[in-house]
Amino acid sequence: MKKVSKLLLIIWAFLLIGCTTQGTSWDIDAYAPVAETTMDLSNLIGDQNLQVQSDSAVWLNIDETVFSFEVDTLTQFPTFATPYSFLWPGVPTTLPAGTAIPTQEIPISLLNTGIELRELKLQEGKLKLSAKSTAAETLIFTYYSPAASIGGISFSFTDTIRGLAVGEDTVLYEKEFDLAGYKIITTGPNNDQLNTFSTYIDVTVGNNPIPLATNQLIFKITNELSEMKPSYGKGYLGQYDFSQSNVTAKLDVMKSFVSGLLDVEQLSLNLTVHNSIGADVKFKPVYFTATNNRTGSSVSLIHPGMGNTVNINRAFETGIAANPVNPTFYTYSFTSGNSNIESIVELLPDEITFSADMKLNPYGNIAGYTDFYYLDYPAHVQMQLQAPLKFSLSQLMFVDTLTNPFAAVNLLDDVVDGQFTIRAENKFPVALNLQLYTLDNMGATTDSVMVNDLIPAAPVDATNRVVAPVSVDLIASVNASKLASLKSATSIRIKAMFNTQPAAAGRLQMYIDYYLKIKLIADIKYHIEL
Amino acid sequence: MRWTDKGLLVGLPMFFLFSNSNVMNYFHFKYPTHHRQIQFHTQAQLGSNAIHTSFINTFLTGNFIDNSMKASVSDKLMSSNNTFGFDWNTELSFTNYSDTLLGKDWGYQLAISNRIYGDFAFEKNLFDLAFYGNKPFQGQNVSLAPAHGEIIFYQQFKLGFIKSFYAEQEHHRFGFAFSFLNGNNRMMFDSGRMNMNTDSAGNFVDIDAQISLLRTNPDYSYFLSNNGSGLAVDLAYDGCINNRHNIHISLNDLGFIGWTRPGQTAEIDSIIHFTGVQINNIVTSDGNEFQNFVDSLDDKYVRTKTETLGAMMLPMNINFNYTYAIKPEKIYLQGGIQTKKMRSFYPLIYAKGIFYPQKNIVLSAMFGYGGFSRFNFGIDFGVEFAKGYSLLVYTKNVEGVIPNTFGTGISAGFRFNKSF
Repeated sequence: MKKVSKLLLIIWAFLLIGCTTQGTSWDIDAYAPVAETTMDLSNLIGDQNLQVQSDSAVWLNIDETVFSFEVDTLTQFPTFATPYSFLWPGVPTTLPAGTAIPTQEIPISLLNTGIELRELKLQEGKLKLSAKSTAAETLIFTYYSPAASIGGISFSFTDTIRGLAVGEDTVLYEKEFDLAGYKIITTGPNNDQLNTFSTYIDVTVGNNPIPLATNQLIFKITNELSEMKPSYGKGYLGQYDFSQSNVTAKLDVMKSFVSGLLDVEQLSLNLTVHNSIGADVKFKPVYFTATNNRTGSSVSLIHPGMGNTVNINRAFETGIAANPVNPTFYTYSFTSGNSNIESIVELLPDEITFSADMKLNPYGNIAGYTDFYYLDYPAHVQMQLQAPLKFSLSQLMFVDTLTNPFAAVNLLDDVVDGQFTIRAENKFPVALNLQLYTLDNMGATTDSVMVNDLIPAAPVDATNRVVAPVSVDLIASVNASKLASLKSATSIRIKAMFNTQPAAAGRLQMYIDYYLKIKLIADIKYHIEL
Repeated sequence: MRWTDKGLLVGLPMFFLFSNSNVMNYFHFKYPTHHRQIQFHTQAQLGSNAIHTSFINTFLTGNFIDNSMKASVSDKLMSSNNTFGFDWNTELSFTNYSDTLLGKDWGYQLAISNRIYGDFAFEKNLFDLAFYGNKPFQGQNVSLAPAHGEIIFYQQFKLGFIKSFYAEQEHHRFGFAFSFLNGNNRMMFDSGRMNMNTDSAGNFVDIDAQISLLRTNPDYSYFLSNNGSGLAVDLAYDGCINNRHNIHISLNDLGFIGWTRPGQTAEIDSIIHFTGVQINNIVTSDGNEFQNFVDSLDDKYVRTKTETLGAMMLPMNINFNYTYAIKPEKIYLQGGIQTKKMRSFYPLIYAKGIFYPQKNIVLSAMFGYGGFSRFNFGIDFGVEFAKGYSLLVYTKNVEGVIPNTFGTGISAGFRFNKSF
């Protein structure tokens, strides 16, 4: 009977323990939109880069700074450390409590900057005061500099250094001050020097008298100026050389256009050198070469300005805080009439190489220490590109490879099979063949994703303008085999070919109402597991 | 009727009194001088009016539910009022039927129990959506409501009093009990409106829904912790008119739990037109749109609150049965009805035959209709393995012991009893 009882207990326990929903699973058929996006010229190129004409035609209008010149002698100051020791100069004596010791001047030199400054204003900077006192009693000190001020108030600080304790021979004192925003006059205490200003220290004996011997060290001070970044400097900036020789800029995005033809028209490019430094500048563009490494073709820019030196006069200070600089300019204008700029664009370059000579103060200190520099107003080159967004594309092939984003998407792990529909509504007169390939870790193609790959161009009317979009469904299959390829792929290669249509129409003007709307619809069998 | 004091003469073959089960004590009559008992009893039952045991077994044992399994359920579902429910009650009790401290023929019972209920009602469309997905509904506007689901966990601390009356052949017991309830956890889902329209071309999915969700504070939802408290009353009568006619009537769990600790509620009452996660600019997209979309759903459509969840009535239980002794202490016939105040519990009407092949073994067989499931074929097997020590195992759903597509209920019970 006991055996029966045991058996019953075991059966009951088994029934309870056997119940678990962990691992319970089933498949469902999901059919729903996943994501949608609309690509128009505004979000493809950016509103700020577009100019819409009265007939809705779109022009490119790009206005951007493409290069800034930095005077690193002004923007990267070294650290200055100035030690100073005060020895008692008189006969042996005892200074009574409250006795003021004569003011000590500690000059600070900024000679290592390579420039000759009369004045500077700091955006950042630290002043570290390190003091060592050998006095037996407390010293009260005031540390100040009339040359350094913020909002018209001179730098000043008062504190005490305690006296020596029994067994001590030195008392250390350290304090760091933030000099951000301070203006420093660097013409010395008598306004007859450069790169120099002074700090002062007044010391008073504390509550107890101090016995002193002749030449006894009372205290030793070190001023350390560090992390200084001037927002403004005035004086003589020196003959700084900004020249850029054989500089190469990679245009990585263009690398993806591996073949095909682009044809543009009426392209106008202005490159304007803005001299916002208070010093004369000599500038000479030496050469500018565009290279398409996929085809091995190069085109050098041809323009009357190339190889010629121009002098750009110094900027002026306006005295207005909100807009303190009145810069001077020199503009190079490139059009199809005076240059081969369109050939350079149509080359689809992926690399630009250029050399330019640029020198500050080519004629020396002719302005008598009135050069200036504002950190927030560097000299720069501004590019203004204007062209109608009118082009023809012929078999323009875009190929890019990216790390497989689906490898890390857990959501895809539960897709059993099915398909994704890419529902495209195209109002561009541009046909797009889109295919995605899965690649293994050797870069070999393992599969393709799209079943059909053509988004046709929207048809144009007699004026070569699209009046109605065209719609198409592209199918991306995710059957078991393709799903396995997609999950195991190391990378995904996107291959897109663009053709403006009709090809016979030549260059087609783009209008602001053109768009490509894409909706991703999932039609999949999805595995649910509890 | 003549009432006399004949001492503790337990002539009743059954003794349920405060039990909310319809399974009686089978060996009590053997020891008329025993007036105390210790009992451990646990009973779990679950069932549906449509979902069969094969599906339930697959679901509860971590297996894959294939399409034929889904179809075998879906084809049997009614368009509305499909139910699924369960309870699992475990109780440890001590009963003294006659304690002279309380007065002549008065007794008492002390019990602690753990109670778990689940109560679900749903539309066929909701089941099909959950297990088939929305594709079968493309191009259709379907209603998924009303839908309701609720799970409750609590403990019960009971003190009951029993008054016995004896006559020559009659024997009557009345009982009443008060319980303090310690509420652990309550989770509820309720929807009165839930419509879904899947565009035939897949361009959109529309949902028009009113859904209420609540749950008690999860930090206090574990065993013996307190998210709220309540009170309950049991009333019971066991009667033996003579040695052949026995009646049991009881009303259990008439009470409430007040969920006083603030819990969480969420309310959705919105129309959602979903056309896909909007990626405003694919050129500058950082891929966060999907997470932002999920967050925005919460912000736009779900109103959440932390508040006290109010009082909730317990699923009251009413039992009535009549037992006829064809051959006393050998063969009995029993008929009864039992109901619980739950959406998923239909009044259970049953008939039971009880047979003692030996003095210390009992077998019974039951047929019933109702309860959590539809048909109920039950068997009880009890054994007294030492004097006053008995074990009982039973099921009310033999038809569900081996998973199949006919039975819709599964149940099992175990009871240890010591009388002295």
